[in-house]
Amino acid sequence: MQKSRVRGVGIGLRRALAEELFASDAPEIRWLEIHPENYVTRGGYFRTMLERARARWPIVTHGLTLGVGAVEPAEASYTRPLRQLLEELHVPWHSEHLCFSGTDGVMLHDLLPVPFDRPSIDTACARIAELRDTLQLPIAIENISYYTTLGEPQMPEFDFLLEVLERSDAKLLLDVNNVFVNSRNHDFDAYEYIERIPAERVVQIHVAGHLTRHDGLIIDTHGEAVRPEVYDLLEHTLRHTGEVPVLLERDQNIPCFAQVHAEVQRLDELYRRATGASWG
Amino acid sequence: MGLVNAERKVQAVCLRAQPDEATLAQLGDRRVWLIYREMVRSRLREEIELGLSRTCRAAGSAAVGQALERYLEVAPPRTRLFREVACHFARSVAPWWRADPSVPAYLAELCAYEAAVWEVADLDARVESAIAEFAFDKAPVLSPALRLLQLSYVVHQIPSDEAQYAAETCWIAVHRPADDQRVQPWRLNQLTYDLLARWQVGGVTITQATEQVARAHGRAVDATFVDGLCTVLADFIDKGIILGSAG
Repeated sequence: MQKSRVRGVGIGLRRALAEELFASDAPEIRWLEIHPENYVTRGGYFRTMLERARARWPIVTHGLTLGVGAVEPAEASYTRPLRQLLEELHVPWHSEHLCFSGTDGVMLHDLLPVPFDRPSIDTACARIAELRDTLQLPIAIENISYYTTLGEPQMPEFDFLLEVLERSDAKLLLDVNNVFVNSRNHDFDAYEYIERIPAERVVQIHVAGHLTRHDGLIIDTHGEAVRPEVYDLLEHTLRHTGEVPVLLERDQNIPCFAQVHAEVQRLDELYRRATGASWG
Repeated sequence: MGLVNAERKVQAVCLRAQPDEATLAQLGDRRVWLIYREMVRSRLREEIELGLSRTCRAAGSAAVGQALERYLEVAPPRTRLFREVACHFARSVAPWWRADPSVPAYLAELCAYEAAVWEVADLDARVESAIAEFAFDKAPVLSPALRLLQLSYVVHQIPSDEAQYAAETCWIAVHRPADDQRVQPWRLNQLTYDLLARWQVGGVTITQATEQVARAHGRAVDATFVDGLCTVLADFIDKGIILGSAG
């Protein structure tokens, strides 16, 4: 599998969709993303599912638990089999989140915001450097949805993200839905945010659905269809970044494959329109 | 407050049975940190209810809630692998439920059994080392996708009334063959269970382990015993529980 084959629109490999995906003829789905935690040292159905998937699609890995805002470095008992898996899959890069998910050895299995300050930048840069050394791959970090700041921020989230990227020389997995959600929850201009992103750092884009709570807070649930406003923001983003692979995320409330496929078709059309890509 | 302290405070808000108001005030927006707390706790609970569905039904929502509260406060998840959370929870709560007269007596056993099934479904059944043809004078190689349980209730079968599990000692092998995705429970007698358990520990030949276990059971390794042993071995090899001998 060649690294350059990760182009166009992909979806996350999910058990609930796998059999229909494997049986489908859906040329608009050009690659798949997996969460490596779901496959590291695992046998049974998940191992079989991954083998079937990689025989047909390029795979990209997106971690859920090595948030680079964590105070503690990742333990070798996890990074060793992770590296082995990434080597097997020939992934072009590996991504994690700019967040933390626990401390003192505890794992909360959520993406929690870190303070937007210098010590957090230092920590993130250290974690990214360690990951790059350990995995021997380019590391991309994803901007998360944050519903509040942790303590009094020393700088805006954008400046925080940018400084981490520049100091660590990391790539960016730009989650467009997260930018949209944050812009609504924290009252900033999502289009301006996108335009300030250094396009050359963006290796992958995420889009997903979100949910507005009764109190007005918007939560990045990955459990609804992508909203029209996010499609618009994505198109704007792709015009800014050029051709960067786009992943449709769906982790909750997973619909039938036909519905996911229809969303991918819409994204594929948008992708070609915005970037001028053609699939020959 | 420093990065380490900030992360510890967030963690404490998410895990403590009652979040501390002073800590919430230090973190900032109380309402939103309580939303984070709810998201963390509900995600973990959903995973536990998925992995231990019969146990959670039998325990009832209130008992699961109490167990989860205690689990998160005193023994929270320490694994990066989300699929392991249910088993981690099961290992913590089984002794608590065993000592708790307010929950059904079979609950801890059902929890241990379901956790074993959940775990075995995902175990990597591949063996890295060389496997030779089966021989009595070599150590056997067992499937890695195998867990042995001694239970006091017949929880490996679903009764017509899920609240009524028969009290009876059971020796169970929970296994998944390498070429199959289905987990199977096999009920064994105590002697066979002890043999399998001794082989699983490793380091001894089939012959040595058999002699040790027969001695412990006060049985002579005579023709009848050997006949029975051969039947059991053939069955284990057929099921993929014994893969061969150490090369």
